[in-house]
Amino acid sequence: VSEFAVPTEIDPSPYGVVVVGGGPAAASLAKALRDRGYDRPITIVSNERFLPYERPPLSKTYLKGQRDRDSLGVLPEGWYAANRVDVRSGETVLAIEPGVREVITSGGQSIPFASCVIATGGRPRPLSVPGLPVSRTYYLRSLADADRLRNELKPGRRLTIVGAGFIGGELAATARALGVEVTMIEALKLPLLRVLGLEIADLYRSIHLENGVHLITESSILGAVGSSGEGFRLDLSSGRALECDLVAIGVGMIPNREVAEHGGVECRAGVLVDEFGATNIPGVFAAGDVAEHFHPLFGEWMRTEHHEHALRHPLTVAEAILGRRQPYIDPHWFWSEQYEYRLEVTGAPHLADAEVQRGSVVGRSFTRFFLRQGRLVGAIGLNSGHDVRRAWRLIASRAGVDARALHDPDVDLRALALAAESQKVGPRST
Amino acid sequence: MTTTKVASVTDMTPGQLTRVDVGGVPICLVTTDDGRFFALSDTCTHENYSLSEGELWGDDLECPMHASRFNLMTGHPDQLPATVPVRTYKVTVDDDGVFVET
Repeated sequence: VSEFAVPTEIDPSPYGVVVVGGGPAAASLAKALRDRGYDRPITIVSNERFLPYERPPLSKTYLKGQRDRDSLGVLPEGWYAANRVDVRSGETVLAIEPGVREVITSGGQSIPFASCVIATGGRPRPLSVPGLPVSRTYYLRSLADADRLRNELKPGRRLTIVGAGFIGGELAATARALGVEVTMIEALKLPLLRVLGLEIADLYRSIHLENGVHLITESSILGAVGSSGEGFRLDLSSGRALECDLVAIGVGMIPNREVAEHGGVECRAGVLVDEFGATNIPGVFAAGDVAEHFHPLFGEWMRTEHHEHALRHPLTVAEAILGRRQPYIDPHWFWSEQYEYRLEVTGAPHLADAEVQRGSVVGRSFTRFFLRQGRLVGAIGLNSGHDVRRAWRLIASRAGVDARALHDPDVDLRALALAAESQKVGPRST
Repeated sequence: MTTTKVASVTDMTPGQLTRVDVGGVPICLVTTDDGRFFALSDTCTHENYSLSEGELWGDDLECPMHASRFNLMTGHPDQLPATVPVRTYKVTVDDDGVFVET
């Protein structure tokens, strides 16, 4: 049901939707369209060998061997054929031609479209280390990456991780659980510093140290020197050197925006879309990691590299394709599991002009709330139960909140969120 | 068809989720904020987490781990990541208690 029953142009062509990219956003989009009765062709052009799969387990349960590949599908394997969604696996889109509304694939075909959705995601930011053999360098983004790494994580192996972000931290936790010796090198002075701030980042430093990770901060690798056997030596900017068997790089992601850019789609870091998922070119949309989307709740352009966003953002695009304008106002939400700690983050903590906390960082169970002008704009919680999901609702409601209520552990946040939702103001009710 | 008493009405508070075992099957007994009762399979169909540890939002039960949302009446997930419904069970209430039919 749309609150915005304002149809845009009705496209008379018989063509359907072409999705460029085959990750979770592509699957979610296809499902959202079929759920809403869209009956024209849907084609997903995917450079993956596999149907769209969930990435979150790749750094955790899948890497530990607790999950198998068949359990990772975003949708059941049979869903695509049953819903007449044509997945062109192992193909890439070489060009988008908005003028004639078609894409050209690496298989040499041109596929006409009424709507094209760019859901190309991203690729790991490469790190070039002089002397480091490619065969000993690992990334963690795709199932193929995880498979390659999975074979190497054996007790006693010496793994060096470059980058103590979410991928690096989760990989460190998984590798430690598998008995791997882990060194983690981070350019900043604490892990996750930019996302979590000093105090919580410092807690993550302690957590890694307690779990036997050798954490080297404010450092980088200058080069690698081979030695006998499989191992080699890494020379660090600090002047230190360390021996290891393999190096995993987790220094961020580069959005795959090139094919859009070459097609004349306006891009900055990602593919620019408005709050309805539309690019500057009619009939061309973008969703998921690659989309730099205007967020009406936060008044900013944002790019979000998290699974939940890849699932939710396409719903707005599906509505837009159907001629209904429903702004994407999801406050974003993600989680990270490392050791016995579950972190959840929602909203845009960086926008805050005030902070308030319930629980304690020292006690390792807390939620920190971020406010701007009396409204909640973000929350970070560690082992804090439902707090962050409740905060997600409070943020979406745009209701004013009392900082004292957020601080007081006796105030029921669910009740607060329900009350806020019942008097919700914002784009959905205007 | 078996009817099993799972709770007393006085035990149930609005907005509450309770895990009950009926013949070895974990069931999530739901009391909505306006006092209605529902029973659903307690195991999320996405990954094996307990829905009774999740939260109730309106007529949806949200999984605590990855926010799949299941409709209390139909058991259907209204959003990813879950794609498969959870089983629902009929609930009856009388002066003696809350009963689930399995």
